[in-house]
Amino acid sequence: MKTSDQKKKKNQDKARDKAQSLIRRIICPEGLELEFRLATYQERLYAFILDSIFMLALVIFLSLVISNLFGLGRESSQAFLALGCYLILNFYFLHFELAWRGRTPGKKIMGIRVINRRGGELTPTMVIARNLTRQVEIFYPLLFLFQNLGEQSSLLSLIELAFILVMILLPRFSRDHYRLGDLIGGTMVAVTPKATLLEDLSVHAPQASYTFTPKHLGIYGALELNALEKALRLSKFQSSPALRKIAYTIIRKINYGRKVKPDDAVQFLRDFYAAERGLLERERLFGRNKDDKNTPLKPIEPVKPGANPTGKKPLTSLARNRSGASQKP
Amino acid sequence: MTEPTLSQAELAPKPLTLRSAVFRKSREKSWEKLDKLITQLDRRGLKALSAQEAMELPLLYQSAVSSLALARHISLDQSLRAYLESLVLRGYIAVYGPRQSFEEILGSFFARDFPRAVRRLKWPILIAALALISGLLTGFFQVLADPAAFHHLVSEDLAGGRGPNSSPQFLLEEVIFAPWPGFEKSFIVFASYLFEHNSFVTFLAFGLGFALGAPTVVILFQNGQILGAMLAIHWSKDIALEFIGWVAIHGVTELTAVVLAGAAGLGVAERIFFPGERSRLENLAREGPTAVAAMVGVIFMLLLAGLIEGGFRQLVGSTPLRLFFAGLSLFGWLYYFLFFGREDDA
Repeated sequence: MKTSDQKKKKNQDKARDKAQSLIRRIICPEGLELEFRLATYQERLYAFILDSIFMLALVIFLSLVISNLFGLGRESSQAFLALGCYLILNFYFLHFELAWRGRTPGKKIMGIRVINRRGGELTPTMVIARNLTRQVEIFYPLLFLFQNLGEQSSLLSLIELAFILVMILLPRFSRDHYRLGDLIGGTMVAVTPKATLLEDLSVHAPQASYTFTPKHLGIYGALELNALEKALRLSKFQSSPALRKIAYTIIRKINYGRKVKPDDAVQFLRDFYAAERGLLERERLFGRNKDDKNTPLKPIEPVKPGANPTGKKPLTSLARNRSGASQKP
Repeated sequence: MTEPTLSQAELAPKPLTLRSAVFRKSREKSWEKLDKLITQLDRRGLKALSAQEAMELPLLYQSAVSSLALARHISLDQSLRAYLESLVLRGYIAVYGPRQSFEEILGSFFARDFPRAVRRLKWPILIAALALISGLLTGFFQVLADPAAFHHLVSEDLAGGRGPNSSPQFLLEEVIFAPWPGFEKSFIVFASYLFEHNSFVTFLAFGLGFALGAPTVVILFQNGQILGAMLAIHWSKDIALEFIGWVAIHGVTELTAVVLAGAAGLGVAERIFFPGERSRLENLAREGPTAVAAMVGVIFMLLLAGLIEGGFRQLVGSTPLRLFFAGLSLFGWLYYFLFFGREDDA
């Protein structure tokens, strides 16, 4: 039992570490640090496969239409097909990433998109750069391989195949899942964020029926407050036994003097949440913070210039200039 | 267990005065509006927004940025902070994403970006052009001195039956002044031309220029040699001028494109070899766009060259006229590269 719990915890930690390792900070032109989650290799690969399927479908559709509609000879249908392939290969990604703000149909389905990795504007040149490089990474080597298969030495075919494989696998192993085009274009592929605004839990009752003294509220910290918020929002906790359990734990811990009826547990929790948040937020305004129940209220440490929670430099033009200047005076 | 007794006043219900709740209430409307605009924009593009809304978007975004900065400071409402973080990210994408359509970008690209990129590649262009020209001269004199060298320099495919032993009549009638093959045939030539040249040139610029730079020079030199060898066999038969007209009408455009492609690769290679103050990766991100702009231009130049070679050339059946068009295109490209997009050149 214990070992399985440990295992579970370890897995959770691992998952959290993985999620953390995908967070990248950029500084938006307004000067605020924003957090993006990088797209994983799988997400990018699936998006690419989807786009390839769409392109192929487009080519097949085009060739069927052309050869049937115009009744052309074999050679000129092939020529039309070649022209169609040429246009689709060159402009499919380019068109969509420009028109759809960094997304292609495949990326849209996967919920990922291209952004400027330094936090500035995503310029057309960047989009062009990353997509033109794609031709060299994948399409032309593939084309060469198929065109000359059997005609060229197998060594050359192998080299071409290896090149394609390296290019496809590069984002798997590069730190930020960059492919060559991202390096050249100065872009990265991030997850399109989405979140909905939920109700403010502190607003629910016009007047609180349970009140608390500072002593009651001084027990817990921000961590517990967040956990409580999560519990109150989670639908599976809406069954009152679970919430009742939490309520009575809190009542015991803070040594609450008033009796709370079991039916009032949710009401109590919401009042407690509002009061606790009120206190902690007020303390924050005065520059004091209580992280969790085990740490005392302490002043918020001023952020040192250059300090960063992840230990990674935010990728910005500002940071680059600063570090460049200090390294090479 | 001793329970502290609470006074009646402490237990009395208090009106709600959470600062963060008030903060949220006062700003919620503008966040929701921004949210709505971004959603519209994502679904149906810039056209979905009215002029009024398009003007409002950046303002709403900026107010959301300040809301987020404040919320990070004062609010402990996780869901609110998560919402604002995501809203600002989406706003950032919406406001700083590419705003022009593909067609608009093409317009500004040809009016400004392409010639500007070419001007930035001054030195690499010189090196690439030198490589091509020295190849041309070498090939020319090699074949002039020893006609058999032609077969070493020019592959059977490329020669298409031409060689030191071809008669002047064959060269003139079957190749140089061959009648226009008709629309369909021209089109086939055009289409196959596109693929061959594009893959070749793209590789020239990127695959090789990036890696080392030296192979680019070698390939340019070799291509010059091929052209020189061709010129030599026509020279020895006194039909050099006809050959030049036949090549130059599309060759001015094509060779310029090839040189530009090579120069684009060399420009990046230069930055990788001599990174200067920045890291190589930074350089790649900085020089990459210039190289790429040049490459996109090259693609279009080759499209044009392909059109001329595929059909137009054989329609223009006289050498002086061909030379005239070649001169015109040379002048046109020079003028374009030197003078377009100058106004706001940095």
